[in-house]
Amino acid sequence: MFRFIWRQLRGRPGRTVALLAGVLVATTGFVVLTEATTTSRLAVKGSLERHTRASYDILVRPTGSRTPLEAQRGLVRPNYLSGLFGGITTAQYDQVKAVPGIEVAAPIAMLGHADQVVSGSLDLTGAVNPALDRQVIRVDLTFATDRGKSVGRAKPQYLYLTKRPLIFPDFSASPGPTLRYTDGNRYPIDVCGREYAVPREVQPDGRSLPVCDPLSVATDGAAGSTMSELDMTSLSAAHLRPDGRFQYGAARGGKAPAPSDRLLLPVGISVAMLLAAVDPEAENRLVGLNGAIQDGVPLPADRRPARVDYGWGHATEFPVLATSRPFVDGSVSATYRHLVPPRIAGLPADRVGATLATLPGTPAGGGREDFADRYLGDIRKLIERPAECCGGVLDLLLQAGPVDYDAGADGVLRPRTVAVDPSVYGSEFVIKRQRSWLTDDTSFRPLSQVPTSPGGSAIAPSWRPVGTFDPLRLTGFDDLSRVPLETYEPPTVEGGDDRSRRVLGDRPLLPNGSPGGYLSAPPLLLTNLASVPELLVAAPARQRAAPISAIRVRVADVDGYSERAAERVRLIAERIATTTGLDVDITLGSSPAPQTVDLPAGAFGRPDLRLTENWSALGVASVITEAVDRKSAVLFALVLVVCALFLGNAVTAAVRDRRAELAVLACLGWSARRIGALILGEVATLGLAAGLLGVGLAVPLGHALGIEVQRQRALVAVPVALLLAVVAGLAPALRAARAHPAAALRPLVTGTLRAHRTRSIAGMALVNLARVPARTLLGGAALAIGVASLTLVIAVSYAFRGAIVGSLLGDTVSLDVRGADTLAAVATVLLGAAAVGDVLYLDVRDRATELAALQATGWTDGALTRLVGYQALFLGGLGALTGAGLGLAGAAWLVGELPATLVAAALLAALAGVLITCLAALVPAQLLRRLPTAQLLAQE
Amino acid sequence: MDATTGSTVRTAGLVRQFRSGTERLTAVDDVSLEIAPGSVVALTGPSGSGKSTLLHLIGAIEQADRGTVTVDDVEVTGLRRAALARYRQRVGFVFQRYHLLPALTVLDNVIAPVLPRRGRADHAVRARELLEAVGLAGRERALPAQLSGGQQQRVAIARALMGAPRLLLADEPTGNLDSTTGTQILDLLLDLRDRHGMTVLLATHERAIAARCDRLIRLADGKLVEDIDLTDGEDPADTLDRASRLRL
Repeated sequence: MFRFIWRQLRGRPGRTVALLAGVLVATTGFVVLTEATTTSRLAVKGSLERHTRASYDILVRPTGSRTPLEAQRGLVRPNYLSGLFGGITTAQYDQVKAVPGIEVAAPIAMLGHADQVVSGSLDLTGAVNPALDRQVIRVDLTFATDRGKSVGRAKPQYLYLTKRPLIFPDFSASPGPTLRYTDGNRYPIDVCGREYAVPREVQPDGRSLPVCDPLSVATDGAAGSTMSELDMTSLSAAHLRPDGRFQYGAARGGKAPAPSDRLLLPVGISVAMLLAAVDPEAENRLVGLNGAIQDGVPLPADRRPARVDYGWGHATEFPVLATSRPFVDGSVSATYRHLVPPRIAGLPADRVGATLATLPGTPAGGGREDFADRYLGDIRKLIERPAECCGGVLDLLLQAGPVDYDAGADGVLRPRTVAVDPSVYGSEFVIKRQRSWLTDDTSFRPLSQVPTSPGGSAIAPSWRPVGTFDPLRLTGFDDLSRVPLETYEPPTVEGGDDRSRRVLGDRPLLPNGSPGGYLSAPPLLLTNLASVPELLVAAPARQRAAPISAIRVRVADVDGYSERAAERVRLIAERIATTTGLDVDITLGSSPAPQTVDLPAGAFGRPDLRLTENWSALGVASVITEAVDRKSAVLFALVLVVCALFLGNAVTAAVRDRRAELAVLACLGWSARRIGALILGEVATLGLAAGLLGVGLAVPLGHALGIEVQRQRALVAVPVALLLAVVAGLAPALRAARAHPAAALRPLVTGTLRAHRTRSIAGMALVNLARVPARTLLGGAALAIGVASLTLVIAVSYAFRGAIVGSLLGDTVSLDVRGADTLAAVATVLLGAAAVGDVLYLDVRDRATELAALQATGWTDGALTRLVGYQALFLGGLGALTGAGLGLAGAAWLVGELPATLVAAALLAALAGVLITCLAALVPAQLLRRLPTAQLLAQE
Repeated sequence: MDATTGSTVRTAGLVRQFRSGTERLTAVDDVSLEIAPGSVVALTGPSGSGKSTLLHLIGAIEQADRGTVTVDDVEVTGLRRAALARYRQRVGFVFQRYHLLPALTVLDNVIAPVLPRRGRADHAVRARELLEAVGLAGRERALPAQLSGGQQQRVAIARALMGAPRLLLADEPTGNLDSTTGTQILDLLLDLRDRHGMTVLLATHERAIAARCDRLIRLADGKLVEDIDLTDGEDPADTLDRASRLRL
């Protein structure tokens, strides 16, 4: 038998070589393409592993803290700790720590915003007229934030400059109804209306008159009242000495202020800084906190709040580690006007303001102060002078709730504004407590107040920095997998459209320091957990009992996303959830997912903005991996099926050519089984030979295409080729074996059972396709699979670009996917088109006599080519549209939706398939020109 | 139906050779002849004598190796492919095996030669007239497989006439038919010639068929060996006798 097979193959070298080439192309193509998709899959997974290293893998939050929006979109908002003031008990924290397999469990207890006045100064030296005995410089301050778009104009500040000597109150002396001044005498403290000591101007007759500050009466009121810094109009006094130097400020130890060459007016803004308690040791392991210390020392875990005596009073001070970067967007600009006042000294406070407000003036320049630049200097002073009063004020903590959103149908998030009662900023120990001008801005977060306890002192508690840390020096992780609160950086919010970008000057929007503002800065002040009970002594019982807001957990032996790591993290997350009953989110493999936010206009002139804010999409890596696995499986299958169809067509044609010979063998007594075995034997022999050739060809072919084909992968060519050949040959072999010898005498292509009206070339083309339905379907199916795979690849690219995850990680990974997959898909389309070309070629060959008859009756080459062209068009259209439909269905399965762009892409893929098919039809069309018309017509 | 005038056909030194293995076979060997317009000429000779090849050369289905074919003063052998296709549109060809398109109805088969051209409605009308002329009125919607051999050949003849040819070439048109049907087909061809005045050149090896033609040209081994004018005024009753003398 084998010898017979060998002779058969040798006896028909043309057909043998053609079949061998078919199997070889299909097998080598399969090996190279599957290698390409495997490589791309590995590249994706490698990319995921590289880009998914974050500081923590699991986020544990109090039960019920996951918002419906987060749950619906699989996201975690960037400032998820806002409004999360406690909810986890220390016992639950201990339970989490006890779960085996955890490397670090870092708790964080959000405590609230503490006010810090960042001070600056304006240099008025240039505005001074040295010729005048008395003069007032009016300073009009304009505060700005939100990249200069929120602007607040403050009531004017005045500086009274006199050539007459001034005497200054000494605040370091014991206070009482009178206060000692630098001339050694005591003067009443309430001379300007209430307890408000001011400098006094020495008159020519030796008397001294107070230079009253209008602020002394403006701050009259009840305890708990507040005052915006925009409403604070005040008057400072300075002495212009004969030597041209200036004397102003506060006396210390009975000594008058030292003269200065510059005349500086102090200004400041109140910035709310978020205070949180952490376990310094756990935080250090999580993000390398100790390595980011810039000034001072690391935060001691066990240092409790201290009672500090300033000499004239005492207060409780809480140890904190302060950020070196306040991430505050705030500045003040000033314009100066020169006024020549009537007499000021001796005027009551309420008349000073009224008098000065009516005075005309002349412009005298201006100045500017950027508070971000001043912040670090203030903090350093507090570190360097630990015994000096006072640290940052901690008379109360403001707790800001979360932002509520309305999610539009377009997916855009619209934060809701909330009304805030200004009394929340007030303190029972302070009259007209100063509050930031931005507290009158549009608010997005509800605020509540937690007072702190002064512990029996007249001085409010304060925080004292032990050091500063630079957030940018914390252990950095990949931008593509950044998780919230990883490095204490503010949320990144960029303009989401051209107008907003223009408004923001192409810079990100930063938190403006208002606790109720949309953007919440990360904790900028870190204290230890040991300080929490004392800080929260007046807090609600619920928060005192469960002070921890979240626990960030890093799982041991997890270094980026992999299936093993994901399973390990999942198990531990499950264990934590079961043990503690808390809300647990797996952040391993999450990635920033840009969300569009429409921020309503602010009350201080900031227009409404469209913003892009990076939220964290959970489980991005796992979604990508699953999609890539599904996509690879689908592409593998499609490549294999197209190869099988291509080959099946070729084998069928080869067997059909030998009908007469097989009929003769049947007449000679060969059994059906033997004839089937003969066909299969021939095909299998060819498959084996093609497989061996494929092993040698796959490596150089892959190299030429830029795909590294592994030797083991190349060896797959042998079984694949054998299997392909046998599968493809099975049906033709069975048909040949079962055929009656008389069937060999029938024409290759018979008529249809039904008569069709055919009055055009296109109609004739349709009839021709209908005459060989199996072959037509085979060609159409091959092309359909090609177009379907191309549509799928486009869908996958589309999905990774936005539809599945809409994440930065997805965007990067899609770049890895596209090249190899597109190559595979295009090759599949080409194989499909080749199958269609083969079908058309066989059709022309089998119906050559009919075509010759048409030629003999005067059909031109053009008319015959049109006939084949129409067949290609219809077959291509059938296959391509079916493929596009199948591809879309697959895409819908993969992506979970069917956006219009994907439908358009599928139609484009179908169009490409039709065009390629028409190009493939050029080969059979060429055959028409070489038809042996006379011989065909003369055949009996 | 249009009345036409038959074509004049001239061949001069026509040679056509085929390669068979290492040998070269000369199918048509230096054939020169002239056929008058409107005449019915029988090409006779044994199998392989070159009858079909000569018809194919005249019908421009095959290219001559040497020599010329001139039809109505147009040298067919010098035409390019497109001009050849236009020439074939003016020549009717009837084959022994009919070569109908099995998937098309009878009517569509007749229309097929002019399908690429404009005027579909006119084509259908003309095709119906032709089918009526060949005796197949009412069978327009039938498929070829549903017709007898004679009927299929009538369809083939109607198809050949669709382009209103001045020259009709018929290669063994009755070869696959029984004698009665063959006679009917010949009657049809002669009738059509009488009505349309076309030149008819038919290859046959049947004496009875050849005897009814105007002229008989006999080929042997590709050479023209005999050229007999059968219109010498004898009584038609002598036809069979005369045919018996023919060495077909």
